[in-house]
Amino acid sequence: MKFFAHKVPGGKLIKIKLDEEDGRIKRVVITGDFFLHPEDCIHSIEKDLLNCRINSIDLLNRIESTMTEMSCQFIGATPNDIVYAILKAMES
Amino acid sequence: MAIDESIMLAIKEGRSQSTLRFYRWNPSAVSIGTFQSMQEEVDVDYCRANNIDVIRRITGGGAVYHDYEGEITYSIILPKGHRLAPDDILDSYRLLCSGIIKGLEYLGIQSEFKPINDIISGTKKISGNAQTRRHSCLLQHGTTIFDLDVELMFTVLKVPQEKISDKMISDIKERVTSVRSILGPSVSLQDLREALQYGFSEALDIALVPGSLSNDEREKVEELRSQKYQADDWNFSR
Repeated sequence: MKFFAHKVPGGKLIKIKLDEEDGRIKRVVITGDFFLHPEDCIHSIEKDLLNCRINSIDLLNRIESTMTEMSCQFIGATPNDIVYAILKAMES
Repeated sequence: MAIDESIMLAIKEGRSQSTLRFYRWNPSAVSIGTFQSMQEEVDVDYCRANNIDVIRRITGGGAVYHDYEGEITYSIILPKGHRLAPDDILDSYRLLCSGIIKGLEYLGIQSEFKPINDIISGTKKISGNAQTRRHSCLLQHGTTIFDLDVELMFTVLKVPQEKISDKMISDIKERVTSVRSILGPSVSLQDLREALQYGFSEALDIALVPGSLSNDEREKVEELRSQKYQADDWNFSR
């Protein structure tokens, strides 16, 4: 799996473990010391990212769509931070 | 953990009321945030060889070493809509952390809230906190560091360089402090506990009435302990 750890300036740490195939997410695990309310939202974000094209626009749209649907809130990180970490993991 | 969740479920069902607990971890333990990976954050082999429990919390945040002799943990559990449970999460951290700040002030330690979820004295962290909102309740819990064994803490925890690199501090010992290091050896854990009790009562304007778990709560504690908090499925998920 590809891996990247991103310390959000003034925020928390996000870690990405990622399997990709043909430029799409095959599996992703998002860990870290951030807060997400409600906590179960992380499973939905990871599930909804499956098969997502790995580019900033598609990733951000997918994450924000899930968060809106579940009324989720990140504390110490943002969807953009998750996207950044996924893209950096792809470079690794 | 199981006690907190049992109380939350009882409050949701109208069988219990707002609760403030103070406790110590016996044996000493490492808890990780709900979004962390146990194997990434904790030297599990070392913990098992040295009778240190490992557990995943239901709150986010980071990995914490809970030294039986080194800290007091609090948890405050409130029903949704309580005056001490504002909808804004950052506001609620600030409000509930004022109990610790008032308690430390009672001991003679000046401290302040540092967003998102820390309390610092000077520039050093003396308390970390974490919150979840579920079961129609707010649970906030956190530690106040009484005495710090830095070497042991960073033996059991795997702290990544990425977390501290942007603060330009390479020595982790400069980032945390403790009640004992500020006040000296004459202060006891009992002193800290009494100060925290006073602090929460004063800062939050609450009357504290001693209580105990109901039989139903105790039964739920045992169920949660065996089926969740002692289970590898929970602790080693992610």
